[in-house]
Formats: sequence, structure tokens, C-alpha cells
Amino acid sequence: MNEVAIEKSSSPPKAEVARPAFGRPLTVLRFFANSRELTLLVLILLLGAGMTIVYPDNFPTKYNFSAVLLNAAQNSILVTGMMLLMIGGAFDLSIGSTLALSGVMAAVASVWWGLPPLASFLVGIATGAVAGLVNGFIVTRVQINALITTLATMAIYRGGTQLISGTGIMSIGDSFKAYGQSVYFGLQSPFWVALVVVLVGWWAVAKTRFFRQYYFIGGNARAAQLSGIRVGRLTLVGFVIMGALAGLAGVLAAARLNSAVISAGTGVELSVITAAVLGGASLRGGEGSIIGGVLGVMLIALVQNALIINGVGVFWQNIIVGFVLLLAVSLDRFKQTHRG
Amino acid sequence: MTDAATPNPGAGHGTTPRLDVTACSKSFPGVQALNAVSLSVMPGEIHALLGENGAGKSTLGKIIGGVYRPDAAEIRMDGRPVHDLDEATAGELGIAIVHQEGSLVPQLSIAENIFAGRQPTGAFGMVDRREMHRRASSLMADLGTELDPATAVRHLSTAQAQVVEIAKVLSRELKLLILDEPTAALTQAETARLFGLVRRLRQTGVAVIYISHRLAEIFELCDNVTVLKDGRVTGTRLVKDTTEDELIRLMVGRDVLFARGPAAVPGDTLLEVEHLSAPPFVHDATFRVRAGEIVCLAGLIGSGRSETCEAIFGVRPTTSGVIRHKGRPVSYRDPSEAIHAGIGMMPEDRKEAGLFLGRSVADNISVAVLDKVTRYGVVSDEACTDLANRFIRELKIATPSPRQILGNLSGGNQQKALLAKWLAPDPDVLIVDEPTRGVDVGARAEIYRILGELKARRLAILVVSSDLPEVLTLADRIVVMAGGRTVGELNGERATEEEILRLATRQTATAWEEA
Repeated sequence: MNEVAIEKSSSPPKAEVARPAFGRPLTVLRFFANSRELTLLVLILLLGAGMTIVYPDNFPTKYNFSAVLLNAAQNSILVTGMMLLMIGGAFDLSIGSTLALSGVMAAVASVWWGLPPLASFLVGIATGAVAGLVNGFIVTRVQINALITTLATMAIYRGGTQLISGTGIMSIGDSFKAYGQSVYFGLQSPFWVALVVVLVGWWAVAKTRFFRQYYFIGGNARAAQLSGIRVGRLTLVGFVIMGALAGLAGVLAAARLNSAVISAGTGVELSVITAAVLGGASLRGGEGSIIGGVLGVMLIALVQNALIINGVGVFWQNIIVGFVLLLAVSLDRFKQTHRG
Repeated sequence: MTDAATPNPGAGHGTTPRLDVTACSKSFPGVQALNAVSLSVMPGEIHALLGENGAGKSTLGKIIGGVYRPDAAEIRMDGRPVHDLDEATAGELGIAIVHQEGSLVPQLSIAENIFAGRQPTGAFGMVDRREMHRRASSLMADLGTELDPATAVRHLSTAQAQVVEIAKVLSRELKLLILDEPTAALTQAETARLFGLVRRLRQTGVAVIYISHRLAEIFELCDNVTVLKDGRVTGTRLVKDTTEDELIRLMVGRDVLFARGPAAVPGDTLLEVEHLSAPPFVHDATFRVRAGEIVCLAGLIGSGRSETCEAIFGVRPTTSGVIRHKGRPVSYRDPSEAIHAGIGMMPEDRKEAGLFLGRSVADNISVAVLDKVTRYGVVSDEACTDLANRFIRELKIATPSPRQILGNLSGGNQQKALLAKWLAPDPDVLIVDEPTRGVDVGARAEIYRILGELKARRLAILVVSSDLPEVLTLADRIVVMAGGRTVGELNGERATEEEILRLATRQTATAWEEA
């Protein structure tokens, strides 16, 4: 009898689309709150326009744009995997360590084993995929939650990186570094790789049946299981994809610098999760889109660029990025309170 | 109603009732849970509240325990009127309620739980651990258990945790104890020990309200019994002057609002279960469902009906017995296998296990058949919408569009969307657990109509329902379960509520005598 009452009271008596008006300003706000991608796009354009007007000599230059895009490339690759995991209700804190480990393994393959650059590159990506497989196995089979698992492997992978390479591997080789430093149409290769990853990821997650299932897992894992979705298997695959993408980011970073440094990717997990949340992901899962995450990365990159051009210190940059995140999450709260 | 005023025999502890509730009413949106109910309990009396699932007995218990506020009621404790009864006031008055759900913190020790927020303190307000453990030990000893008070509650069995609940209650002054289905998760030996404890409390003048739908327990333990039906008192009796038949007669007889559909013309057996065991809830289940008939699994809450369905559907591992689907022995390890083979299962708790409330109606309907709306790996939104529109029309789901977020629909329409989700894979066996829980009368009629149509379309339908009129409306055959076993089968057209209840409760009674 109680259950009856609770269910009744929490669901509206009738389906409705037209809800009572909140007044015009709130309507506009709600529109933006409901399309995170559009909100971010508008913010990015406003910020870009503002910077162009105030700093016409420093901001809208080819050099500055390519620097911003190069910096955003790594996080765009990572946010594609993180967004997928977060849509499915999981996340991965070990990506920075995976990135460093993969870069070092690619350098090991190239310098110590003498493998050709492409093979070394693939060794690095495979390393990342295996690191992700280990995370996924622990989360889905041993059933330790994603926070604890990836917190532990974050330390393990970083330690392993140091164990293998000591202080890192310098001067990997000219043919290897070409993968990270070649310039096409005025932009360096990591940007183009990121563009491909993002476009494929965007299409796959938005359109394909396989990736659609992640939304159901994040929305209600038990209902998904009962609806015939293989929750454990898909979560495992999500971690492998995340690991492989972290590996890709790692080898690109190593190629760009022509050296695998053991501190590569330190702290990157937090900025990527920040971008994902900014882009519409929720820690509860079931929400978000790849393009949202990438726009989140772009907004953060642009804010940082604007602050640098303004001569604002690096500490302030962190503080401001923190505030941007809180603002985004407040929008999320607004969306929830004004739904149904 | 007049029966409620029947004077209670005092048990030698004075003549003022410990608790006197008059004209207590409570409604939840859409449901009159209690309608002018009266109840009087003397000190040292064990008073049973009896009724079917949903009769209002737990609601009354929660009002007396201060958990719910009544819409109207006059409540007196020891002759003094009580106003604004909430949980804190109830505690001060010596009223304690032991819930089905439990109120312990699993990570903390027994002693911490017993004295939650009232730990004995020493110098500087520090918890005096030794004193706390001493007092916890002595309380536990009073209850006949010797558990180390430092043990964390999560290491305890259900029965042990319940003893801790009672110890917690006893650690303050106790005048009225409310036990809500306390034996649901207990073994017979544990139940016997609980009864001994309750009897000892009666000796000290504590009044006990014992909420149950197990007749055997009431005859074993209680002095008086008040029977509720649809939120009204249908009678108050002295236990020694009444019979099982009379109590069952008082419990049943709810209005059957819906006409039965046409009789079944059963075909091949599509689902067959033989001596199925899936511990700890299912011990020996045997039944079959044929094409074109509706079989209802009836029984008390906790009799293993839902768990049997989960075992068939591959959610719950089985230890012995055979499941045959379309004549072939099967053992599905995952719901995806069962769905693929042609079984659908609509789970009991639709919010927890059925629906994706944040997603659209179309997404919810297509989730189990994503492969059908996919071309070359790409989900076709058009196919998805077409599928949804077909079911929105067929099942008359009231939604402005297939793109509407499901959480914005009413309970009945959510339930219909859930049905649509399970019809989309075109199953030959459909298991429906509590098809109409939490839906209004109109949606209920719709769901009965839909199930009738599915029967006509030759599906084999297995319905789990705790609502007896619903069972009598839908079922061609009724399989009754008790204590994880199938204990009997009744003809759906001729069965009565009394017969079902007798089967569902008799098994408990037999189990009792064995103990």
C-alpha cells in the first residue's frame, strides 16, 4: 500500500509537454540548459569574439590557433574514451599513467628492440589497451568499483613506467618523431589524429547500436541487464577503448617530444573528467555526448589561452577552470529541478 | 466496524488501554489506505493485525510508530491524548517499531547500533566503550543471545540483526512494541526464539502489536486479532474464540471490479518447471504454462514467486531441477539468452529494474530489440520511432510523442511502455511480475485487456500477483507457492480467495508443526 502511494505521488498524473511557463528569462535559460553542446558552442564563440576584439594582434593569429588546437588534441582523444565510460556509469583515473606507460613502451620498442616506427607505435597503443583491459577486468569481474580500481592502477602503471625506463627515454629517432611533428595544412599531426578519433567516436556513440547500449547501462544498469544487454562485457570493452585511446595519446606525445618522459600525462585525468562533466556527462551515468566532451575540452583550452594572453598567472588559471566546472554542474542541477 | 469496539480482556495489568486509536484515516494520492480504523491494546497484550497484502496493516503500524502522519485520528496512550505523533514523540512515549527493512548501520558494531546517538560517555564526552559493551552484552543476554557487542552488524544473520533491533528498542523504556512481519526472513528455530522473547516482554506489561499475514503465527502467539481489509476493520476477535476459516473470511471478499476474459484454449506446453531449486528462496517449484493461457503464481510475500521467475529468466542461478522451454531443457545464464530464445520478463519493481526514466518512450520500447532497429550497425531513429508508434497505438499509451521522456508519463502509461518493451521482441513466453502495482483503475483495466489479447494471440503468460482479486480476474490456472515450494494448483474460474489463502498459509502452518 505504501509503495502504491509513493509511486503515485512521484509521477505526474498525466503526460504533458506544455508545462507552466517560468517566464521568458527562465525559458531561455532552460533551452540552454537542455542543450549542453549549444551552450558550450555559444560560450566558445563569445569568448573567441571577445578576445578578437580586445587582443586583435595576439589572439586571432594562425600561430595561436594552431597552438591552442595542438594543446587540445591530447585531451580531445582522451575525452572521447572518458565520455564513453561516463555515459556507461564508469570512469578511469589511471589514464595519465597509462599514457606515460604507453609512450615509454613505444620508445622501448623503437630504441631497445629496434622495431620500425609504425610497429613501435602499435606496441604503445596495445600497451594502453592491455592496461584498460586490466582495469575493466578488475571492475567487472572482481567487482571493485571504478574509483578504487583505477586509483590503484594509476599508481601501479606510473610506478611500472619508472621501473621500466628510469628517468625516461630521450631521442627516440627521426622517423618516429615524424608521427608527432609532421605538419599538414598548417596543423601538426596530433590535431588530425584527434579530429579522426573525435569524428569516429561522435558518429559511433550517437548512431551505432553497439555504443547506444552504454546509455542504457548508465541510465539503469539493472534494467539494462534484464533487457538483455551484457553490462559486464560492455563495461570491459569501454575500459579497453579508454586504455587504447590513452595509449594513442601517449605515443603521440612521445613522438611530438621525440622522447618518452615518465611524468607525461600527470594530472590529465582530472582535466579530462572536468571537460567531460562540462560537456554534459554525469557521474551517475547515462548522459553526455562525445561532441559535448570535446567542446568542453575546447572551452577549457580557450579559457586557458585567454588567461595566458591576459598575463594571468598559472595559479589563477586553475582557480578559474575550477569555477567554470562548478558553473557547469550548477546548470546540471537546474536542469534536474526543472524536469518533469 | 462495530466489532472494533469489542472490549479487550485485560491481561492483569490494569484496565486502561495502553494504546487506544479511534477513527484513524490516512490516504495516499489515489488510495484510501485507512478508513476510520479503531484499535485498542491493553498492557501485556499481544494484538495481531491481520490482512492481505495491501490491506493497510503496515500503514496503521507506521502511524502508531510515528512514521506516517494520519489525516485524522484520536490516539491515546495510557489514557492520555497524544497529538502530533512523530518518531521522536513515539520514542519518548515508549513506542518502538521494528520494521521489515531494518534500521541498523551495517558497518558499525552491535553496541554502537544499540546505543546510536545515546552512547554512555565518560570524561570529556568520550564514549565509554567498556560501559557501552557491558550494557549491550547484558541486553543481548536478556534476549538469549551471546554475541560479541563489538561485532559489526554486517557480519550478522538476518535473525541476529533482528535481535539487535529489538535490543536497541529495549535499551530505552518500552511500553508498546510494534513488530511488522518480523518472521519473514527467519528460520523456524529463530522464529520460536523470537516468540519466546515476545512472551517474556508481555510478562513485563509491554503491549505488542504483531503485524502479520501468517495465520499460524497468530494462533501460536497472539491474544487478540484485528482484521483489516481495504483499509477498514472487518473484525476484532479473541484468538482463542476464533478459527482460521473465520479469519480468512474476514480478510477476503474484496470487490472484484473486472470481468474475466474468455476461457483459455490451451495449446502446447511452452514453459515447464520441474522440482526447481534456487536457494535461498526457491526450494521445489513445479508447474507448466501452455500457449494461450494465463497462469498466476499466487502466494504470500516472500514465498519465492519472483525468485522462481528470475531463475527461469537467467538472473538467478539454479541448483537442481529442470526448466523446459518449448519442450527443450534449457538453462539460461543471462537474460540476453532468455530474450533471444523467446522469453520476456517484466520485473516487479519497474523503477529499479524495468525502466530508463531519463530516456525517451521510443528508447525504452526498443531497448530489448536494438538489433531489429539497426541497419549495418547503425540505429535507425526512424525504425525506432515506427516501432514505438506501433505500440503507442496498440496499447493506447498516452504520450504526446515517442520522443517524450518516459519519466514524465503517469505510472499506468509507464507500465504500458514496459509491456511494449517486452512485446517488441515477440516472445512466446511472457512473465509479468505484479502487472498493476501502483497503477490506477483505468490503466489496470487496460493492462488486463492487453494481457487478454496476448492470451488470444497464443502467448504463454505467467503472472505473479499479490493481489487476489487480480489473480481471480486473470488466471486460467492458479499455482500457489509457500516457503519456496509450489503447494497446490487451483482452477482460475472456480477458485476463491479463501482457497488461495488457505493453501498459501497452510504450508506455513505445517512447517510450524514440524519445528
